Amino acid sequence: MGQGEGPLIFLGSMLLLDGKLCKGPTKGKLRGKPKRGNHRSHTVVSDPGPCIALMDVSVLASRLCNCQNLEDLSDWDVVDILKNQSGPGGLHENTLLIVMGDHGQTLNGDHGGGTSEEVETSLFAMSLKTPLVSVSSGQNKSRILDSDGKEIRVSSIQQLDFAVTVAALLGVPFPFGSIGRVNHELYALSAGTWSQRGTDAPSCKNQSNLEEWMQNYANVLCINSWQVKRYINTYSESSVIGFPSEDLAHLENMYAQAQHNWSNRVKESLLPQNEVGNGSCSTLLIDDLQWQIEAYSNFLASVTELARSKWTEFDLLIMAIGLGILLLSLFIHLYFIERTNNLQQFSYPSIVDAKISLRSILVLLLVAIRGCSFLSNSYILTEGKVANYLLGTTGIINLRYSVSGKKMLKEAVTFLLMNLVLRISTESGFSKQTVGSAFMDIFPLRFLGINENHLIWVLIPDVISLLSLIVLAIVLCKSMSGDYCWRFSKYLFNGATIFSYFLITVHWVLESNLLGMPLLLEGIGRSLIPRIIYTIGFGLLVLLTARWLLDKEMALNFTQSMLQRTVVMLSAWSPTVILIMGRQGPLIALSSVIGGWCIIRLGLLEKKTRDGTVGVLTTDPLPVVQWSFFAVCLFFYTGHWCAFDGLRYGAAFTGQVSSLLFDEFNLIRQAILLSIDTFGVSHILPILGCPLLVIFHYPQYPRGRERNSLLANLAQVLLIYGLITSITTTFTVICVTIQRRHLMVWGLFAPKFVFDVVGLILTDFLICFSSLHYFPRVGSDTQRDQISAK
Amino acid sequence: MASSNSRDITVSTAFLLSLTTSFYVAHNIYSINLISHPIPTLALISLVQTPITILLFSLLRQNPQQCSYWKAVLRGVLGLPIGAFLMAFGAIVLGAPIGIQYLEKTIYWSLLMSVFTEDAFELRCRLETMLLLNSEDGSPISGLTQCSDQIDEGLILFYPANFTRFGEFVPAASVYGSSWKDWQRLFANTKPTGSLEYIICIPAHGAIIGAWLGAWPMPLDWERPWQEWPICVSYGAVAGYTVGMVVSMGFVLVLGKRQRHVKND
Repeated sequence: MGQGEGPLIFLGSMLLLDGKLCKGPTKGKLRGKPKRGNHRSHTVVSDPGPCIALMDVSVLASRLCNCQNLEDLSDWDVVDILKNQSGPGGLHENTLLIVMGDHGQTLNGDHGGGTSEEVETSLFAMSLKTPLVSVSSGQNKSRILDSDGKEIRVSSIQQLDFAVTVAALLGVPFPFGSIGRVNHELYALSAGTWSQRGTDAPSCKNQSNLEEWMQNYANVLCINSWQVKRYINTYSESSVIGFPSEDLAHLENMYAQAQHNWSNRVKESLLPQNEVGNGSCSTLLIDDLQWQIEAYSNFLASVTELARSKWTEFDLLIMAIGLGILLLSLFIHLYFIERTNNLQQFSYPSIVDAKISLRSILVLLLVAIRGCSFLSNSYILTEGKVANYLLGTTGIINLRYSVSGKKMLKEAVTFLLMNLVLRISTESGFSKQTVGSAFMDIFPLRFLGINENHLIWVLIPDVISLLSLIVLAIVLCKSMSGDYCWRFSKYLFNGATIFSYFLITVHWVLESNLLGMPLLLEGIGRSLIPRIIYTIGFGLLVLLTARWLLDKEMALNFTQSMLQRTVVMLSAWSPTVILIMGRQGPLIALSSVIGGWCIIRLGLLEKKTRDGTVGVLTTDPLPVVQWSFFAVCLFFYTGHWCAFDGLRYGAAFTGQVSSLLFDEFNLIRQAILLSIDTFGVSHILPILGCPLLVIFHYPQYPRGRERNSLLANLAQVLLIYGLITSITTTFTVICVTIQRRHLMVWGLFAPKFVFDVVGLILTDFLICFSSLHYFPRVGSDTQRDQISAK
Repeated sequence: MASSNSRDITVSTAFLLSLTTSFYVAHNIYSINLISHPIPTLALISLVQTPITILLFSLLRQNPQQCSYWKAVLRGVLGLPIGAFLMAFGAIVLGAPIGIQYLEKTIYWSLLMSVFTEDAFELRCRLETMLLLNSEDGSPISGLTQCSDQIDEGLILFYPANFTRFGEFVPAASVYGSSWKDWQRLFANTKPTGSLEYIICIPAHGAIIGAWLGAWPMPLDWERPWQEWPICVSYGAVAGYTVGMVVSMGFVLVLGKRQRHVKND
């Protein structure tokens, strides 16, 4: 490597040949190998020798593309091959060889990060013709010695400039969105392309070559500047937050100056050639060109600088403040959890144990593990699996507790089994397809001689969904069958919800077109029914709010009334959520009911085994963490993931007939539907269902003290839930802060950040909403604390 | 007691030696390892460990009247697949891949885990051993009451049955019933009584915790062959088992010293 006349110094992972990128050496092969040379971005410009660069770059032999490793490149002596065929009429007469990597790497083989080692890479460019000495020897070059002790000059270019430079060399239009500048050193390799036309004055041939090159370069820069200007204008017009107007005016001015001078120059050049000077190699013209090139270069440099400052530089102060606020919120959460603890202690000084239990440590450890997992991109990619792993671990811990307590073994095993079933159905692509085909994937029935397209197998998913809906309705009726103060509302809420379930079934029947209904009727049914369901859900929520406004006093059977409120709230949301989720909806809803029930029961187990007295202990964090992890798992079970292509956009159009879709598109309505689909089972239902974690610890007719204790416990549950979400989001934010220059920032970290932050905001909003809804309006200090905490 | 101490140390050393031997055999004689040939290696380790575990623990029982040697062996052999099933279930719940191509790996891994943890299935005999050991100091009855403080109520009912030779007629189901109680006591409550139980309890916990930790590198994008299921999990389990064994030996030594002190006083 590094030969005198045709230096070939490069190691990287991409070969660029004739404008096409073809995958060069595999990354695996390169990993861990010490790279030769350093990792800076180098343009190695050959020393003066016999060389003329050419504009049309021919395709290099395909064996170059097939080379396994760049070391082979030198073994085959590509340079020799090229040189041998570089004579007039040779295959590589007009060849320019450019080899570059898309990124560097650290000595450990890490890449993708923001360090200079990872960001900077090598670039090798070779022309088989002599570059112009005066052009190719730019100022920003350092001289190094190659392995043979021969001096070579090395310089660097911005990767931003690469695309436009190659476009200029190839003579293709500049990429519209590129704001790079054609690099003069790389472009200088093309010098001499035009000399083939030949000049008659041998005395100043070199001079006129230079002039010609400069003329060309100035032309290219003119087009380059025009394209960049056009892009900046388009961007400023269309962008919400464009560039500052004074900066734009400054750029405008620079461009106008350069342009004005250029038009004058063009006028001059239109004059007869002989006026420019025959013998005296017109230094004036060269100076003119030099000035012109500088004017364009300055303009382009200003654009780059402005764009860098607006697009790629982070406001570290604001970032630090944001992170500080997040951390502060964690402490506020902790403070209020502690404060409710103290309140409990105040009312029950003898029973509350101030010790930090083993379970709390365990829970903290699990949350911390989940948080820390967000610091690595691999764990973010497999977040669903990690959450499932941790949820499974809590399930096994519960199993252990239930074995040792000899109670509720059934619930513990059910929880694990349900988790397993959900996982299997997710992994087999259940969310994307229907239930039946998911099971087909696991058990290939074809081998058993059963036809997959048989009517029975097609109907299975529908039957499962229908059965789940029926079971849900029964569960609802059962849970509401207690003794209530307001019988009328019970029948109303129950009836409305079950009617909605019935409508969902009708909707699906119409959708699958089983009955062969006329198209028009079907269309009306398909758009009308979902709207009725949404309206019923909304109406129930309004009624609930009205009831909350009317219900001033705490009922005698406070616990029951709280349970009723929670169940009604959940059931008001459920038809909408189920409908939007599609066929998987009922099954997911049923699974979450079963999972939630197991978590609640297992939480009771701990309370009862710890002491016999009722509901006076501080809140046990394990069920809350399970509740939270289960919600996270449900997010992934329903076929979402933390990326924008993980959103199920189809869900936003549930209830829209396809022919009317574009007429009726309403951004806000569709956005609400999409948010309900995305966050329905993972945020809305779990948080609104939080009181269920507390209620069952208390007797049906609580006395005043117990009532206060219940409310304090509920506040703690909500606070702990908020704390868990805040902790994980804080870790995500820290991770994004660290990795803000990472290669995968747009593909992975930024979407994760957006999802987590939106999730946190929604969580906090829902916690506030729950505090308002579930806490009686006239009450103790605790709830005022709770509200003020939020 | 001192003799039982040295016996326990010997037992744990034997386990560690057998584990080392199986790795040595795999590496030097068959020239396979967990990474290149996970299934044969896991099978080999299980094959070496299983008979040693079952036979050794069955031998340790000191009252052949109540529990014959072959009965203990039979129980161990029957316990193996049950333990394996539980382990496989746990692994799949936590996210082990499901599929025909992973089936064999999961089976062998769970067998190995079962060997590491199933010793408890033979505990019934060993509890009787303990009672006899206690009876060296006093009467069997005092030994019984001494133990019953730490043992579940179900066992207390069961013990007189053993002593009154009902144990001879107890069907296999109740044998398992009693084993379940021991299992519950050791694994759910983590209350080992006596030095021998430390040797069972701590390494078994170590193996499970090691396997849990061993699963963490699996999602990383290092593209190493050992990140495959169940290689790193097996490594974690073996490491955890070994650490547990060493720790339990330490426990046994400390316990023995303390008991000797008490005796001397």
